[in-house]
Amino acid sequence: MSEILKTERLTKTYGKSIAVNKVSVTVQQGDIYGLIGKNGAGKTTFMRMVLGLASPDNGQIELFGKTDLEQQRKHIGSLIEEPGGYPGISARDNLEIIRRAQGITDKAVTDHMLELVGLESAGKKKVKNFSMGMKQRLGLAIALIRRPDFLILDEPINGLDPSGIREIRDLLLKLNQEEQVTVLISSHILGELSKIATRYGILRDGVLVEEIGAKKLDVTCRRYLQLTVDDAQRTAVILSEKLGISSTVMDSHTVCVFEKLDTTEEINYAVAVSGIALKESRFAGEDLESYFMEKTGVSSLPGGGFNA
Amino acid sequence: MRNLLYGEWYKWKKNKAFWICLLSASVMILLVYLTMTAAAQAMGATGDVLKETGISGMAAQFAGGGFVTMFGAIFLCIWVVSDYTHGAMKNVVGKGYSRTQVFLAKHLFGTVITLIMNLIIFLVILTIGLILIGMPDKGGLFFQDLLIYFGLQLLFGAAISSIVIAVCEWSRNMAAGIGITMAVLIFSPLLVQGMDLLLSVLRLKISISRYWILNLMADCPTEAFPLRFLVRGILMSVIWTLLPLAIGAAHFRKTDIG
Repeated sequence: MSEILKTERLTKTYGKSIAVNKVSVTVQQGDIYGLIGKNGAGKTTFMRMVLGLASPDNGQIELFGKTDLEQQRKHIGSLIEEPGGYPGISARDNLEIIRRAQGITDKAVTDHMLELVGLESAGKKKVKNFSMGMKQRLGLAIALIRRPDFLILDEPINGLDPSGIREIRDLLLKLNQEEQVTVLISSHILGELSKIATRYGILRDGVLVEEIGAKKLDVTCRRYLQLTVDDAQRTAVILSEKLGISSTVMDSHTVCVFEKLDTTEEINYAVAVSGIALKESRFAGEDLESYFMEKTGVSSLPGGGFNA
Repeated sequence: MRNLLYGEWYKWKKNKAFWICLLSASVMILLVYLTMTAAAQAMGATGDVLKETGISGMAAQFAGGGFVTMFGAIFLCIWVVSDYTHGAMKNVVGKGYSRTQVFLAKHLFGTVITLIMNLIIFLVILTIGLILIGMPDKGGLFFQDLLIYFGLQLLFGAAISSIVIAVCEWSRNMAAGIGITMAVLIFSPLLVQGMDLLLSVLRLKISISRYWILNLMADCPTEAFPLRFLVRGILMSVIWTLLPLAIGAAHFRKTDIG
């Protein structure tokens, strides 16, 4: 699997404030890499540096394994902050300007892009009359117009209604699975991000605090029943034989049960009547949101301004 | 680069600012001509102001006075700054073009399209003049002189466009871009003359106004062009075109795109 993006100690400062601090990230081909962090964590600045819209103060960027960034950036589609377009002209004309400026010879691509993002009926409407969601769709069409190998999307589902969010999610999954488009995405809607991301990078105050794969995160964030017993191995056998529940032995005294969590009374009873000393039975683990909130340094959701 | 210019061309075709500025300038020129015609008729036998001024005089009023430049500058401000205010610059920067290529394409297209606007305005001045004043006695010589005059004004216009583009690239804000541009266009000739005065008081034999493009524009004769003026005018036009271009490109290369 090849590396699409690799940054080494990437740093950007604005005056005395360090927006991005020695961030080293690797995005592999086929990844949908979710970049998470609260407002001001440095996600957008990081993306802007990768795209060449902001110059790093320090560090290195490799795109598609190469360092001739200007040429490699041809293969990137992006939507950063608000979609860039002229409000006084139509969505179709905005796309047409970009098609010509980017040297795309296929004239049909403009209409195809409008259709792809669900704007085919609004192509002639002036962008200034677009809703936020429609502007986001136009931004996605702009990002996709060159059939990129790598998509960088900053809050792409901002302002979209639930059906729009689903459409964009399905589109990204389709691009990723069918056309092997690698995606670097930030979104403050964690639930949505968790439905598509294969890896996550968590930024806090400009520092990458963790990189974690979706599978590992699933395990980390799973709720489970933790049993503290005198014989963990025997407990696991009893749970399997009596209740058909598979469990994980963590150490000689700890067993974790990840399934049938609504039958805790039966589990506890089965263990106890088997002559095993059950010292403690409690729920453990945390949900996705609280995991990210802890990592990103947000104490509480209401008013906390959490933004992934 | 060709693709970038192609994109700019399509953007221009869909942009109304050019036509609004051109139409405003043309209407104002027509109104000035008509007002002077009416004044001449009201004065009766005492004198035809318009005839006395002549087409060359009117051209000097409009072009030399900075009137033509002003409309071109306003259009350029809107043209250049809109790329930044609407985030459209993000769609070309980092898409396989170097920053220098992007800036040069935008600079070149902006300058050329502004010169086309200036040229159309000159033709409006000439056409309305010919209709209301009639053909001057000098005939062919008149057209030759006017051609040189308009040519020089276009050269000065290119330099001013370059300055305006650099100002707008630096400010990236519509109010700041138009404000600074207007301040430069309106006040800089006076400022430069003031500096000349100060230098002469200090007994320094330097006349800055001889080299500042807006003063050259205002001082440009409409006939019997002195060779020294022609050489100085052409040289200063080239310098004042290239200098802001280089400064603007350097700034564009270094600065983050919002």
